[in-house]
Amino acid sequence: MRLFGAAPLIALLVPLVAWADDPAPSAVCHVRIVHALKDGNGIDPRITRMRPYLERPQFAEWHQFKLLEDKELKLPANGTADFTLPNGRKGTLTYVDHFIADKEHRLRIKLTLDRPDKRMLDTTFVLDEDGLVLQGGQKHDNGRLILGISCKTEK
Amino acid sequence: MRDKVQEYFDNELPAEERARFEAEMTADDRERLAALEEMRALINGTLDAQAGDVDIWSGVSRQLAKETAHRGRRRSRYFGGAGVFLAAAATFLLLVRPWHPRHASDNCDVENLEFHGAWASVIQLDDSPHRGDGNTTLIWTEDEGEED
Repeated sequence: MRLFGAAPLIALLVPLVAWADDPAPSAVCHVRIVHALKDGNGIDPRITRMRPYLERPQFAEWHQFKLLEDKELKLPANGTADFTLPNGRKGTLTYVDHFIADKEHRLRIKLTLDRPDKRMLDTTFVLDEDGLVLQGGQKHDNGRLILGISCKTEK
Repeated sequence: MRDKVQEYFDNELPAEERARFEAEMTADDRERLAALEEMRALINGTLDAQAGDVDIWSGVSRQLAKETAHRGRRRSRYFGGAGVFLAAAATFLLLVRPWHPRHASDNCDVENLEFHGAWASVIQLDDSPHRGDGNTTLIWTEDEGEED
């Protein structure tokens, strides 16, 4: 009889446990690599998502922006993916985790940039689903590299 | 049916198709992309400027009233329906601006930053002049001996 009394409670708990065991969704990240140059003029028409930001005063020093690459990286939960930058350095993205805060899907991503001799940058950030974060400053071919990184979970 | 240039412009192509389109892009396509971009900036600028102090609905309803006065009762009912539809469409376009895809704000929190170089800085970039793009975060790094 006692067992039957506990049945509704068990029925409630089982889905919760199953939900807790659900693996985090995998993610797709885009790394857009833009070459900023002081010479020349204009923004490559292929640059769409990053364009409004490249028009901000912070980038006024550069007058020409060319899209060098648009890399798509598929990342399983806790997975990493490497990419090579045009200046020969190695970049790595790690999909640390995914969570929901204030009803917003958020992704925690780690980015590392390595020179052949040492790790240059190691940063972890949290951003909204499909949010964009920029990393810039590395020198390349008379200009600077600006990376636009956006990630979203795969439905 | 939407064409490739428009889909590319709206960032709707899958990565592979996007890359293929970029490789095969003609001068004509580039010109169209530039024109689309220009048009979007123009429309956004105009609407942003107007949205603050122009009451579109009163203008539309005034126009509708004029139309009603000029046409027969039966006809005006038909055009009045179309006018209301147009006004609703204009309001929808003003509010939703489907030609300007909304981007999620990144709401980025940099939790950890280790850098081995000259200096690093985290800068918040706001979304103006294109409202709706959301703020974003820039992590700027400067290697030793790399300053211009």
